[in-house]
Amino acid sequence: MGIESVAIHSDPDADAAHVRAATQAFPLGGDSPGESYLCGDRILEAAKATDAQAIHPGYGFLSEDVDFARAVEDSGLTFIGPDSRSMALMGSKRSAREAARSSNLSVVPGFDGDLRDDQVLVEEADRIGFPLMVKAVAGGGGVGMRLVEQRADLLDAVRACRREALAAFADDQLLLEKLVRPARHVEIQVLGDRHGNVISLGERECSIQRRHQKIIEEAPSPAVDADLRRRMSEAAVATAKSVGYRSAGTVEFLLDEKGAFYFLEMNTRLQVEHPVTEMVTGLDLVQLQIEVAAGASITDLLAGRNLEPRGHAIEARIYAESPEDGYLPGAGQLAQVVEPRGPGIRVDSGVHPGVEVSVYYDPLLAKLIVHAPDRHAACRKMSAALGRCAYLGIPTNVDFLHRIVQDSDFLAGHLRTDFLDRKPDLVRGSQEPPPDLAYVAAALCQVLAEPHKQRQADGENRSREPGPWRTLNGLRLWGGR
Amino acid sequence: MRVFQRDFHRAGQSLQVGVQHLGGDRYRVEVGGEAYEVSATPMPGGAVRLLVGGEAFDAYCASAGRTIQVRVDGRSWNLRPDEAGVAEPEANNGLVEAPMTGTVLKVLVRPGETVRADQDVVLLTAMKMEHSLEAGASGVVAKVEVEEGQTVEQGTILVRIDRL
Repeated sequence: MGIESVAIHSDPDADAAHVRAATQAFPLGGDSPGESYLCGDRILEAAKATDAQAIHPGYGFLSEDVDFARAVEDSGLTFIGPDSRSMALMGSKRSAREAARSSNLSVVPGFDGDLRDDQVLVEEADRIGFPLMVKAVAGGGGVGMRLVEQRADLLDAVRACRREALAAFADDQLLLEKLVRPARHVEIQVLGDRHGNVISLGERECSIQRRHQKIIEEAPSPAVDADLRRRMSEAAVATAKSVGYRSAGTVEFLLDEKGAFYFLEMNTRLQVEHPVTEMVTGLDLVQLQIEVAAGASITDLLAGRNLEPRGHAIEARIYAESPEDGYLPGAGQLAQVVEPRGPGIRVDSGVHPGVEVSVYYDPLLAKLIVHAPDRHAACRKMSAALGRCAYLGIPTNVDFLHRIVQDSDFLAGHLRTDFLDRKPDLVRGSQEPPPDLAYVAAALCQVLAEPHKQRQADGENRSREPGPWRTLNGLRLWGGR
Repeated sequence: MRVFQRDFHRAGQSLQVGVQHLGGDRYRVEVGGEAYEVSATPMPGGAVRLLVGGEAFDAYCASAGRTIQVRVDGRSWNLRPDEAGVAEPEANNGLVEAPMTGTVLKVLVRPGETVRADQDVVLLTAMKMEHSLEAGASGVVAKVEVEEGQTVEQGTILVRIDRL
């Protein structure tokens, strides 16, 4: 677009991918999000110091922070997103449910009144019935959210949600929702402009979730036909219009087995999974966000374009965590990064070899996106692409994702939000010991890497923790006899 | 010429792995009692291309903590070297360790308290999420080694439990 960019970053992110990609970098200082990416004042200072005209908030941290959006507006800069008023209405799950109800949408049954009193909370929970969901009113991304199967677990879950929500959003208010199960998570991508237009760019299916966080998303949904797409789109557009929405946003629904859909929430920002919509529509959502923020009209931007989904796209989120071990996140240095390339394969990666995966942030390493003529071909392409990924040095979920996309229910499109809860064997993976080939590979990698490694070691101080290979060097087993 | 020799642990048993260089890109690899003749060529980007019995594989390998992570044929494996002097991690040894670097949010037990193996004893927060850590062994809490709010490295002992 010919626009220069300024990346802001914390100390651990000084070498991060977004910093490398930007025209200019501005250090915010500090390690934790609270000392860096959540400091709105520092970010505005950075904008002034670098003569920036607009701020894109990304999809974490302050992207849905009403105070920040307002501060950006007040400072005379452009916030690339909705205005702070519609963000405030939708940013709280409570007022969002209100807005959806006023647009005649069904919301998930539950209680969104005052829940600060534990006694009220327990009474309301009993009225809704178990299982139910406890959610932070300000929450998102699975943070501050718990599934409670029985009454005995309610208060522990509530306390954990309050703590997480307070830490992540500085707001510990909660709401309760009845658990709709079985259900699919289907969401509609909307785009609004500053001229009152709001359109739908179709749906994404995001039913494959762990810990209430999406890990595999696709477009279109195997459960949505043209008629349902039209009805869900109309509902989403009406809700967005009711709050004067004027940027890219997502209206999330639960879709039950009978084809009834319930409003869940609206995300007033770009979603992590936006690439699957980009692949099937051929649009660049970030570009459109910037265009509409600059005042362009959607009618002009998309004139003559067919917005029906073309082909099928799937995204898999590559996380630094062990699904086989309770999704335990792993931090540390990525020794090797190999990402697949090819027609219809896109990798939105945040890492490179040598990067330190820090404990401070969400453990998302990269997003692998494939596009193919149909769902079957897309599943095959995703499987092949995952097989060719390598992120070594820390645990990752690559093999887990690989197992999912090869699963017969997944291939058949039988998706539901508790898909993984119902497949513990798939989550655990095979418990078989490594095959001989793994040892052959490890030994020969070591043999062939050794001359190179030793050259490196001569110039490098040896103060680092001795890893297994280093111990091996010490024994001089290679070529020394 | 012998160019590699290493003992591993596989499925509770010791496994000897040795490599002989046969010349050029040819190697003879012994894994336990089995022998394989393999062609191996380093590839750009850190992979090693293996030709084993007419099949080609790209292999990658790196150290990850005490294990060796290897990726071959579309799967990853963690191999455990048999290191002299390093005690075998004993299951349920009564030590609750930090499985990852993080911050101790809450210590849920006190010294002298009796705990079940599946009882949560510490809440750890890392990467935005809370993780509860179980005792791992039934017994009596002997000592709490950390304080709430303390940042701990992976492997730090958090709680010691005298097993019953």
